[in-house]
Amino acid sequence: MTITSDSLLLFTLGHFPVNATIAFTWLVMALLTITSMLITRRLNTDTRISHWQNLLEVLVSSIGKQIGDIAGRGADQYLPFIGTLFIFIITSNLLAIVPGYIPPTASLSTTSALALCVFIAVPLYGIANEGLAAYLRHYIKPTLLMLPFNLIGEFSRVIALAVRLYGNIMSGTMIVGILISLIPFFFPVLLQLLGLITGVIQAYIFAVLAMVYISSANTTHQHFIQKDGDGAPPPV
Amino acid sequence: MELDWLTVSAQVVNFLILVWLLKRFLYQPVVGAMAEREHLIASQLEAACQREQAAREEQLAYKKRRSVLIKKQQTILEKAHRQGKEQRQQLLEQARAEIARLVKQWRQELEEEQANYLLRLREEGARAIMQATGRILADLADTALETKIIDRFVKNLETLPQEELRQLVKDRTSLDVTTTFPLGNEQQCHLVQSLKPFTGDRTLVFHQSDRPRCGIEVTGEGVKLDWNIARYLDELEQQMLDLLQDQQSRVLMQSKGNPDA
Repeated sequence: MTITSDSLLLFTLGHFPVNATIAFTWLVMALLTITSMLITRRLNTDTRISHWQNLLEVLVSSIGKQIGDIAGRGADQYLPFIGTLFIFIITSNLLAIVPGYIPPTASLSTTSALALCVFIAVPLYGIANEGLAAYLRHYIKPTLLMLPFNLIGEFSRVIALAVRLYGNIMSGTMIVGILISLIPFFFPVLLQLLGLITGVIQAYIFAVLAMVYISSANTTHQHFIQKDGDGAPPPV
Repeated sequence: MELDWLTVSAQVVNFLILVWLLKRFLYQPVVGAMAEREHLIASQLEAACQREQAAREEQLAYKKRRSVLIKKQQTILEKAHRQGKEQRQQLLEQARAEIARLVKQWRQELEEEQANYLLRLREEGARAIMQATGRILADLADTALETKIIDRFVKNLETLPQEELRQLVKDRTSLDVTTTFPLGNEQQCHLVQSLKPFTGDRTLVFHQSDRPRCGIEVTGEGVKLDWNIARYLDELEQQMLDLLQDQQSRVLMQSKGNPDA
Protein backbone atom coordinates (compact mmCIF):
# COMPACT_ATOMS: atom_id res chain seq x y z
CA MET A 1 0.00 0.00 0.00
CA THR A 2 1.35 3.37 -0.97
CA ILE A 3 1.39 5.79 1.92
CA THR A 4 2.06 8.89 -0.20
CA SER A 5 1.52 9.74 -3.81
CA ASP A 6 4.95 11.40 -4.02
CA SER A 7 6.58 8.06 -4.61
CA LEU A 8 4.21 7.21 -7.45
CA LEU A 9 6.15 8.42 -10.46
CA LEU A 10 3.95 8.79 -13.50
CA PHE A 11 6.29 10.24 -16.11
CA THR A 12 9.28 12.53 -16.54
CA LEU A 13 9.21 15.89 -18.17
CA GLY A 14 12.73 16.33 -19.49
CA HIS A 15 14.85 15.71 -16.41
CA PHE A 16 11.94 16.59 -14.10
CA PRO A 17 10.15 13.52 -12.67
CA VAL A 18 6.40 14.07 -12.45
CA ASN A 19 4.83 12.08 -9.63
CA ALA A 20 1.12 11.59 -8.91
CA THR A 21 1.00 14.51 -6.47
CA ILE A 22 2.21 16.99 -9.04
CA ALA A 23 0.17 15.46 -11.83
CA PHE A 24 -3.09 15.55 -9.87
CA THR A 25 -2.26 19.07 -8.69
CA TRP A 26 -1.97 20.13 -12.30
CA LEU A 27 -5.24 18.38 -12.99
CA VAL A 28 -6.95 20.32 -10.21
CA MET A 29 -5.30 23.54 -11.37
CA ALA A 30 -6.44 22.97 -14.94
CA LEU A 31 -9.96 22.12 -13.81
CA LEU A 32 -10.24 25.25 -11.67
CA THR A 33 -8.71 27.55 -14.26
CA ILE A 34 -10.76 26.24 -17.17
CA THR A 35 -13.98 26.31 -15.15
CA SER A 36 -13.24 29.88 -14.03
CA MET A 37 -12.43 30.94 -17.56
CA LEU A 38 -15.60 29.36 -18.92
CA ILE A 39 -17.83 30.91 -16.33
CA THR A 40 -16.21 34.34 -16.24
CA ARG A 41 -16.04 34.53 -20.05
CA ARG A 42 -19.53 35.97 -20.24
CA LEU A 43 -19.97 37.79 -16.99
CA ASN A 44 -23.02 39.97 -16.89
CA THR A 45 -22.92 43.21 -14.97
CA ASP A 46 -26.66 43.70 -15.30
CA THR A 47 -29.10 42.85 -12.50
CA ARG A 48 -30.04 39.60 -14.27
CA ILE A 49 -27.27 36.95 -14.17
CA SER A 50 -26.87 33.28 -15.02
CA HIS A 51 -27.04 30.52 -12.37
CA TRP A 52 -23.35 29.67 -12.79
CA GLN A 53 -22.33 33.29 -12.39
CA ASN A 54 -24.58 33.54 -9.37
CA LEU A 55 -22.93 30.41 -7.86
CA LEU A 56 -19.47 31.82 -8.50
CA GLU A 57 -20.38 35.21 -7.03
CA VAL A 58 -21.86 33.55 -3.97
CA LEU A 59 -18.66 31.50 -3.54
CA VAL A 60 -16.33 34.46 -3.93
CA SER A 61 -18.43 36.82 -1.82
CA SER A 62 -18.77 34.15 0.93
CA ILE A 63 -15.01 33.66 1.04
CA GLY A 64 -14.57 37.44 1.08
CA LYS A 65 -17.08 37.74 3.93
CA GLN A 66 -15.31 35.05 5.96
CA ILE A 67 -11.99 36.81 5.41
CA GLY A 68 -13.59 40.12 6.33
CA ASP A 69 -15.00 38.63 9.55
CA ILE A 70 -11.49 37.59 10.60
CA ALA A 71 -9.30 40.31 9.13
CA GLY A 72 -11.58 43.29 9.40
CA ARG A 73 -10.85 46.17 7.07
CA GLY A 74 -8.60 45.69 4.02
CA ALA A 75 -9.74 42.10 3.51
CA ASP A 76 -9.70 42.36 -0.29
CA GLN A 77 -5.91 41.95 -0.44
CA TYR A 78 -6.14 38.47 1.19
CA LEU A 79 -8.87 37.16 -1.11
CA PRO A 80 -6.66 35.69 -3.88
CA PHE A 81 -4.32 33.91 -1.46
CA ILE A 82 -6.81 32.61 1.14
CA GLY A 83 -9.50 32.00 -1.49
CA THR A 84 -7.14 29.94 -3.61
CA LEU A 85 -6.06 27.94 -0.57
CA PHE A 86 -9.69 27.12 0.22
CA ILE A 87 -10.75 26.38 -3.36
CA PHE A 88 -7.67 24.28 -4.12
CA ILE A 89 -7.93 22.19 -0.93
CA ILE A 90 -11.69 21.65 -1.14
CA THR A 91 -11.51 20.70 -4.83
CA SER A 92 -8.60 18.34 -4.18
CA ASN A 93 -10.47 16.73 -1.31
CA LEU A 94 -13.88 16.47 -3.03
CA LEU A 95 -12.37 14.85 -6.13
CA ALA A 96 -11.31 11.96 -3.89
CA ILE A 97 -14.69 10.45 -4.71
CA VAL A 98 -13.48 9.86 -8.29
CA PRO A 99 -12.00 6.36 -8.62
CA GLY A 100 -8.28 6.34 -9.33
CA TYR A 101 -7.82 9.90 -8.14
CA ILE A 102 -5.34 10.50 -5.33
CA PRO A 103 -5.85 13.83 -3.58
CA PRO A 104 -2.68 15.98 -3.66
CA THR A 105 -3.59 17.11 -0.15
CA ALA A 106 -3.01 13.55 1.02
CA SER A 107 0.67 14.19 0.38
CA LEU A 108 2.73 15.75 3.11
CA SER A 109 4.71 17.54 0.43
CA THR A 110 1.61 19.38 -0.78
CA THR A 111 0.39 20.30 2.69
CA SER A 112 3.92 21.33 3.64
CA ALA A 113 4.15 23.43 0.50
CA LEU A 114 0.86 25.11 1.37
CA ALA A 115 1.94 25.63 4.97
CA LEU A 116 5.23 27.00 3.70
CA CYS A 117 3.31 29.45 1.54
CA VAL A 118 1.34 30.57 4.62
CA PHE A 119 4.61 30.76 6.57
CA ILE A 120 6.02 33.12 3.94
CA ALA A 121 2.74 35.03 3.45
CA VAL A 122 2.46 35.94 7.15
CA PRO A 123 5.59 38.14 7.29
CA LEU A 124 5.05 39.38 3.76
CA TYR A 125 1.53 40.69 4.49
CA GLY A 126 2.69 41.96 7.92
CA ILE A 127 5.59 43.90 6.44
CA ALA A 128 3.48 45.14 3.56
CA ASN A 129 0.82 46.47 5.89
CA GLU A 130 2.90 47.75 8.83
CA GLY A 131 6.49 48.03 7.69
CA LEU A 132 9.49 45.86 8.61
CA ALA A 133 10.25 47.38 12.04
CA ALA A 134 6.69 47.26 13.26
CA TYR A 135 6.36 43.68 12.11
CA LEU A 136 9.59 42.57 13.79
CA ARG A 137 8.50 44.19 17.04
CA HIS A 138 5.77 41.54 17.26
CA TYR A 139 8.41 38.92 18.08
CA ILE A 140 9.68 40.77 21.16
CA LYS A 141 6.27 41.40 22.61
CA PRO A 142 5.43 41.56 25.40
CA THR A 143 9.15 41.26 26.38
CA LEU A 144 12.39 40.36 24.65
CA LEU A 145 12.37 37.08 26.56
CA MET A 146 9.43 35.94 24.47
CA LEU A 147 11.45 36.07 21.19
CA PRO A 148 12.45 32.35 21.19
CA PHE A 149 8.95 31.26 22.09
CA ASN A 150 7.47 33.44 19.39
CA LEU A 151 9.86 31.98 16.83
CA ILE A 152 9.09 28.41 17.97
CA GLY A 153 5.40 29.27 17.79
CA GLU A 154 5.78 30.51 14.20
CA PHE A 155 7.46 27.29 13.09
CA SER A 156 5.30 24.95 15.13
CA ARG A 157 2.05 26.33 13.81
CA VAL A 158 3.26 25.91 10.23
CA ILE A 159 4.15 22.29 10.97
CA ALA A 160 0.80 21.79 12.72
CA LEU A 161 -1.00 23.31 9.77
CA ALA A 162 0.74 21.00 7.32
CA VAL A 163 0.46 17.83 9.38
CA ARG A 164 -3.20 18.42 10.32
CA LEU A 165 -4.33 18.61 6.72
CA TYR A 166 -2.05 15.80 5.58
CA GLY A 167 -3.09 13.55 8.46
CA ASN A 168 -6.79 14.06 7.97
CA ILE A 169 -6.84 13.54 4.23
CA MET A 170 -4.24 10.79 4.14
CA SER A 171 -5.94 8.89 6.98
CA GLY A 172 -9.31 9.17 5.26
CA THR A 173 -7.89 7.73 2.05
CA MET A 174 -6.01 5.04 3.96
CA ILE A 175 -9.02 3.99 6.02
CA VAL A 176 -11.18 3.71 2.92
CA GLY A 177 -8.44 1.61 1.26
CA ILE A 178 -8.15 -0.70 4.28
CA LEU A 179 -11.92 -1.06 4.67
CA ILE A 180 -12.42 -1.87 1.00
CA SER A 181 -10.03 -4.76 1.44
CA LEU A 182 -11.87 -5.93 4.59
CA ILE A 183 -15.54 -5.07 3.93
CA PRO A 184 -15.95 -4.42 0.24
CA PHE A 185 -19.57 -3.18 0.26
CA PHE A 186 -21.62 -0.41 1.81
CA PHE A 187 -19.39 0.56 4.73
CA PRO A 188 -16.60 2.13 2.63
CA VAL A 189 -19.25 4.28 0.92
CA LEU A 190 -20.28 5.77 4.28
CA LEU A 191 -16.64 6.39 5.14
CA GLN A 192 -16.17 7.96 1.71
CA LEU A 193 -19.02 10.38 2.53
CA LEU A 194 -17.43 11.05 5.90
CA GLY A 195 -14.15 11.69 4.07
CA LEU A 196 -15.88 14.27 1.88
CA ILE A 197 -17.25 16.09 4.92
CA THR A 198 -13.83 15.93 6.57
CA GLY A 199 -12.25 17.27 3.39
CA VAL A 200 -14.60 20.26 3.32
CA ILE A 201 -14.06 20.96 7.00
CA GLN A 202 -10.29 20.69 6.66
CA ALA A 203 -10.28 23.06 3.73
CA TYR A 204 -12.25 25.55 5.81
CA ILE A 205 -9.95 25.04 8.83
CA PHE A 206 -6.78 25.44 6.78
CA ALA A 207 -8.00 28.62 5.12
CA VAL A 208 -9.34 30.13 8.35
CA LEU A 209 -6.17 29.32 10.29
CA ALA A 210 -4.01 30.76 7.53
CA MET A 211 -6.11 33.93 7.67
CA VAL A 212 -5.86 34.06 11.46
CA TYR A 213 -2.07 33.70 11.29
CA ILE A 214 -1.76 36.40 8.68
CA SER A 215 -4.10 38.81 10.42
CA SER A 216 -2.52 38.18 13.83
CA ALA A 217 0.64 39.74 12.45
CA ASN A 218 -1.31 42.76 11.35
CA THR A 219 -1.93 45.87 13.48
CA THR A 220 -5.15 46.61 11.61
CA HIS A 221 -6.42 43.22 12.67
CA GLN A 222 -5.37 43.88 16.28
CA HIS A 223 -7.26 47.14 16.32
CA PHE A 224 -10.27 45.45 14.73
CA ILE A 225 -10.30 42.67 17.37
CA GLN A 226 -9.90 45.15 20.24
CA LYS A 227 -12.63 47.34 18.87
CA ASP A 228 -15.00 44.37 18.70
CA GLY A 229 -14.02 43.36 22.27
CA ASP A 230 -13.07 39.88 21.15
CA GLY A 231 -9.40 39.20 21.71
CA ALA A 232 -9.43 35.51 20.95
CA PRO A 233 -9.16 34.09 17.44
CA PRO A 234 -12.11 32.06 16.15
CA PRO A 235 -12.29 28.50 17.50
CA VAL A 236 -10.75 25.77 15.37
CA MET B 1 6.22 9.88 6.49
CA GLU B 2 8.65 11.26 3.99
CA LEU B 3 9.08 14.74 2.57
CA ASP B 4 10.13 15.13 -1.03
CA TRP B 5 11.60 18.59 -1.21
CA LEU B 6 11.47 18.64 -4.97
CA THR B 7 7.74 17.97 -4.83
CA VAL B 8 7.36 20.56 -2.09
CA SER B 9 9.10 23.14 -4.24
CA ALA B 10 7.04 22.17 -7.26
CA GLN B 11 3.83 22.41 -5.20
CA VAL B 12 4.83 25.84 -3.91
CA VAL B 13 5.34 27.00 -7.47
CA ASN B 14 2.10 25.28 -8.54
CA PHE B 15 0.21 26.97 -5.78
CA LEU B 16 1.60 30.39 -6.60
CA ILE B 17 0.72 29.84 -10.27
CA LEU B 18 -2.77 28.78 -9.23
CA VAL B 19 -3.10 31.92 -7.11
CA TRP B 20 -2.16 34.03 -10.11
CA LEU B 21 -4.46 32.09 -12.44
CA LEU B 22 -7.45 32.30 -10.15
CA LYS B 23 -6.76 35.93 -9.46
CA ARG B 24 -6.64 36.56 -13.20
CA PHE B 25 -9.60 34.40 -14.26
CA LEU B 26 -11.80 34.24 -11.19
CA TYR B 27 -11.45 36.87 -8.50
CA GLN B 28 -10.77 39.92 -10.59
CA PRO B 29 -13.61 39.32 -13.11
CA VAL B 30 -16.10 38.27 -10.44
CA VAL B 31 -15.22 41.02 -8.00
CA GLY B 32 -15.15 43.50 -10.88
CA ALA B 33 -18.56 42.36 -12.11
CA MET B 34 -19.99 42.55 -8.59
CA ALA B 35 -18.51 46.00 -8.07
CA GLU B 36 -19.83 47.14 -11.42
CA ARG B 37 -23.28 45.76 -10.60
CA GLU B 38 -23.19 47.44 -7.21
CA HIS B 39 -22.26 50.66 -8.92
CA LEU B 40 -25.05 50.13 -11.47
CA ILE B 41 -27.60 49.40 -8.75
CA ALA B 42 -26.35 52.35 -6.71
CA SER B 43 -26.64 54.63 -9.74
CA GLN B 44 -30.11 53.22 -10.50
CA LEU B 45 -31.12 53.77 -6.89
CA GLU B 46 -29.74 57.28 -7.00
CA ALA B 47 -31.60 57.93 -10.25
CA ALA B 48 -34.74 56.47 -8.71
CA CYS B 49 -34.25 58.71 -5.67
CA GLN B 50 -33.80 61.71 -7.92
CA ARG B 51 -36.87 60.75 -9.92
CA GLU B 52 -38.80 60.25 -6.70
CA GLN B 53 -37.64 63.63 -5.46
CA ALA B 54 -38.58 65.22 -8.78
CA ALA B 55 -41.94 63.46 -8.68
CA ARG B 56 -42.48 64.66 -5.11
CA GLU B 57 -41.62 68.20 -6.10
CA GLU B 58 -43.88 67.94 -9.11
CA GLN B 59 -46.64 66.55 -6.91
CA LEU B 60 -46.15 69.47 -4.54
CA ALA B 61 -46.27 71.91 -7.44
CA TYR B 62 -49.44 70.26 -8.74
CA LYS B 63 -50.99 70.41 -5.30
CA LYS B 64 -50.17 74.11 -5.08
CA ARG B 65 -51.56 74.73 -8.55
CA ARG B 66 -54.64 72.73 -7.68
CA SER B 67 -55.24 74.72 -4.50
CA VAL B 68 -54.75 77.96 -6.45
CA LEU B 69 -57.20 76.74 -9.08
CA ILE B 70 -59.71 75.75 -6.41
CA LYS B 71 -59.41 79.20 -4.83
CA LYS B 72 -59.79 80.79 -8.22
CA GLN B 73 -62.79 78.60 -8.96
CA GLN B 74 -64.36 79.55 -5.64
CA THR B 75 -63.74 83.23 -6.34
CA ILE B 76 -65.27 82.91 -9.81
CA LEU B 77 -68.24 81.01 -8.40
CA GLU B 78 -68.77 83.58 -5.69
CA LYS B 79 -68.48 86.39 -8.22
CA ALA B 80 -70.90 84.64 -10.59
CA HIS B 81 -73.28 84.00 -7.70
CA ARG B 82 -73.09 87.62 -6.63
CA GLN B 83 -73.52 88.86 -10.19
CA GLY B 84 -76.42 86.47 -10.70
CA LYS B 85 -78.03 87.74 -7.52
CA GLU B 86 -77.50 91.34 -8.56
CA GLN B 87 -78.80 90.63 -12.06
CA ARG B 88 -81.77 88.81 -10.64
CA GLN B 89 -82.47 91.72 -8.33
CA GLN B 90 -82.05 94.12 -11.23
CA LEU B 91 -84.35 92.06 -13.43
CA LEU B 92 -86.87 91.85 -10.62
CA GLU B 93 -86.73 95.60 -10.15
CA GLN B 94 -87.06 96.08 -13.90
CA ALA B 95 -89.99 93.68 -13.95
CA ARG B 96 -91.59 95.43 -11.00
CA ALA B 97 -91.06 98.79 -12.67
CA GLU B 98 -92.49 97.41 -15.91
CA ILE B 99 -95.45 95.97 -14.04
CA ALA B 100 -95.96 99.24 -12.19
CA ARG B 101 -95.75 101.09 -15.48
CA LEU B 102 -98.18 98.68 -17.12
CA VAL B 103 -100.51 98.91 -14.16
CA LYS B 104 -100.30 102.67 -14.24
CA GLN B 105 -100.86 102.66 -17.97
CA TRP B 106 -103.71 100.22 -17.57
CA ARG B 107 -105.21 102.37 -14.86
CA GLN B 108 -104.86 105.44 -16.97
CA GLU B 109 -106.45 103.66 -19.88
CA LEU B 110 -109.09 102.33 -17.60
CA GLU B 111 -109.74 105.75 -16.16
CA GLU B 112 -109.84 107.24 -19.64
CA GLU B 113 -112.13 104.49 -20.79
CA GLN B 114 -114.20 104.96 -17.68
CA ALA B 115 -114.35 108.71 -18.22
CA ASN B 116 -115.29 108.20 -21.86
CA TYR B 117 -117.83 105.64 -20.85
CA LEU B 118 -119.29 107.91 -18.22
CA LEU B 119 -119.39 110.81 -20.65
CA ARG B 120 -121.11 108.63 -23.18
CA LEU B 121 -123.35 107.30 -20.45
CA ARG B 122 -124.16 110.81 -19.41
CA GLU B 123 -125.08 111.80 -22.93
CA GLU B 124 -126.89 108.59 -23.69
CA GLY B 125 -128.48 108.63 -20.24
CA ALA B 126 -129.70 112.16 -20.67
CA ARG B 127 -131.10 111.30 -24.02
CA ALA B 128 -132.70 108.15 -22.71
CA ILE B 129 -134.12 109.92 -19.65
CA MET B 130 -135.50 112.63 -21.88
CA GLN B 131 -137.10 110.16 -24.19
CA ALA B 132 -138.36 107.92 -21.41
CA THR B 133 -139.62 110.73 -19.25
CA GLY B 134 -141.17 112.38 -22.29
CA ARG B 135 -142.97 109.19 -23.21
CA ILE B 136 -144.06 108.56 -19.62
CA LEU B 137 -145.34 112.06 -19.21
CA ALA B 138 -147.10 111.94 -22.57
CA ASP B 139 -148.66 108.61 -21.75
CA LEU B 140 -149.62 109.30 -18.16
CA ALA B 141 -150.29 113.05 -17.88
CA ASP B 142 -150.80 113.93 -21.49
CA THR B 143 -148.22 116.66 -21.00
CA ALA B 144 -145.03 117.44 -22.93
CA LEU B 145 -141.75 117.11 -21.07
CA GLU B 146 -140.57 120.43 -22.39
CA THR B 147 -143.64 122.16 -20.90
CA LYS B 148 -143.00 120.54 -17.55
CA ILE B 149 -139.34 121.63 -17.70
CA ILE B 150 -140.42 125.20 -18.43
CA ASP B 151 -142.90 125.04 -15.54
CA ARG B 152 -140.29 123.72 -13.25
CA PHE B 153 -137.83 126.42 -14.31
CA VAL B 154 -140.45 129.12 -13.70
CA LYS B 155 -141.24 127.68 -10.26
CA ASN B 156 -137.57 127.79 -9.41
CA LEU B 157 -137.40 131.42 -10.49
CA GLU B 158 -140.21 132.24 -8.10
CA THR B 159 -138.16 130.89 -5.24
CA LEU B 160 -135.05 132.86 -6.18
CA PRO B 161 -134.16 136.07 -4.30
CA GLN B 162 -135.23 139.33 -5.98
CA GLU B 163 -131.68 140.64 -5.95
CA GLU B 164 -130.48 137.84 -8.15
CA LEU B 165 -133.33 138.36 -10.56
CA ARG B 166 -132.59 142.08 -10.73
CA GLN B 167 -129.00 141.31 -11.49
CA LEU B 168 -130.15 139.11 -14.37
CA VAL B 169 -132.11 141.79 -16.12
CA LYS B 170 -129.92 144.74 -15.19
CA ASP B 171 -128.89 146.92 -18.15
CA ARG B 172 -130.37 144.46 -20.59
CA THR B 173 -132.91 144.94 -23.30
CA SER B 174 -132.95 141.28 -24.23
CA LEU B 175 -132.26 137.98 -22.59
CA ASP B 176 -130.91 134.79 -24.18
CA VAL B 177 -132.99 131.69 -23.61
CA THR B 178 -131.20 128.46 -24.47
CA THR B 179 -132.89 125.09 -24.50
CA THR B 180 -131.75 121.60 -25.35
CA PHE B 181 -134.88 120.84 -27.20
CA PRO B 182 -136.53 122.96 -29.93
CA LEU B 183 -139.38 125.13 -28.69
CA GLY B 184 -142.58 125.45 -30.59
CA ASN B 185 -144.46 128.72 -30.81
CA GLU B 186 -146.88 127.63 -28.17
CA GLN B 187 -144.08 126.72 -25.83
CA GLN B 188 -142.26 129.96 -26.57
CA CYS B 189 -145.44 131.94 -25.78
CA HIS B 190 -145.90 129.94 -22.61
CA LEU B 191 -142.35 130.70 -21.63
CA VAL B 192 -142.69 134.42 -22.43
CA GLN B 193 -145.89 134.55 -20.37
CA SER B 194 -144.36 132.69 -17.53
CA LEU B 195 -141.20 134.86 -17.43
CA LYS B 196 -143.05 138.13 -17.91
CA PRO B 197 -143.17 138.85 -14.15
CA PHE B 198 -139.42 138.61 -13.95
CA THR B 199 -138.22 139.99 -17.27
CA GLY B 200 -140.72 142.70 -17.82
CA ASP B 201 -140.81 143.92 -21.45
CA ARG B 202 -137.40 142.68 -22.32
CA THR B 203 -137.11 140.59 -25.47
CA LEU B 204 -136.37 136.92 -25.18
CA VAL B 205 -134.05 135.49 -27.80
CA PHE B 206 -134.42 131.72 -28.13
CA HIS B 207 -131.52 129.38 -28.89
CA GLN B 208 -131.13 125.65 -29.09
CA SER B 209 -127.93 123.98 -27.80
CA ASP B 210 -126.66 120.79 -26.17
CA ARG B 211 -125.00 122.82 -23.42
CA PRO B 212 -127.82 122.74 -20.95
CA ARG B 213 -128.23 119.05 -20.22
CA CYS B 214 -131.81 118.42 -21.03
CA GLY B 215 -132.92 121.71 -19.58
CA ILE B 216 -133.26 125.42 -20.02
CA GLU B 217 -131.12 128.43 -19.16
CA VAL B 218 -131.61 132.16 -19.26
CA THR B 219 -128.49 134.27 -19.58
CA GLY B 220 -128.33 137.91 -18.58
CA GLU B 221 -125.61 140.38 -17.63
CA GLY B 222 -123.05 138.02 -16.12
CA VAL B 223 -125.78 135.91 -14.53
CA LYS B 224 -127.16 132.64 -15.71
CA LEU B 225 -130.29 130.96 -14.37
CA ASP B 226 -131.00 127.38 -15.40
CA TRP B 227 -132.59 124.02 -14.68
CA ASN B 228 -131.60 120.74 -16.13
CA ILE B 229 -131.37 117.05 -15.31
CA ALA B 230 -127.63 117.25 -14.63
CA ARG B 231 -128.22 116.46 -10.93
CA TYR B 232 -129.96 113.20 -11.83
CA LEU B 233 -127.25 112.40 -14.29
CA ASP B 234 -124.60 113.09 -11.62
CA GLU B 235 -126.32 110.62 -9.32
CA LEU B 236 -126.47 108.04 -12.11
CA GLU B 237 -122.83 108.68 -12.92
CA GLN B 238 -121.86 108.28 -9.28
CA GLN B 239 -123.73 104.99 -9.06
CA MET B 240 -122.05 103.69 -12.23
CA LEU B 241 -118.69 104.91 -10.96
CA ASP B 242 -119.16 103.06 -7.67
CA LEU B 243 -120.14 99.94 -9.59
CA LEU B 244 -117.11 100.16 -11.87
CA GLN B 245 -114.71 100.81 -9.00
CA ASP B 246 -116.12 97.84 -7.12
CA GLN B 247 -115.60 95.64 -10.19
CA GLN B 248 -112.13 97.05 -10.73
CA SER B 249 -111.03 96.35 -7.15
CA ARG B 250 -112.36 92.77 -7.51
CA VAL B 251 -110.27 92.27 -10.68
CA LEU B 252 -107.19 93.65 -8.92
CA MET B 253 -107.69 91.34 -5.96
CA GLN B 254 -107.96 88.36 -8.32
CA SER B 255 -104.78 89.37 -10.20
CA LYS B 256 -102.83 89.71 -6.89
CA GLY B 257 -103.99 86.28 -5.73
CA ASN B 258 -102.83 84.74 -9.03
CA PRO B 259 -99.61 86.45 -10.29
CA ASP B 260 -99.61 84.47 -13.58
CA ALA B 261 -103.01 85.84 -14.47
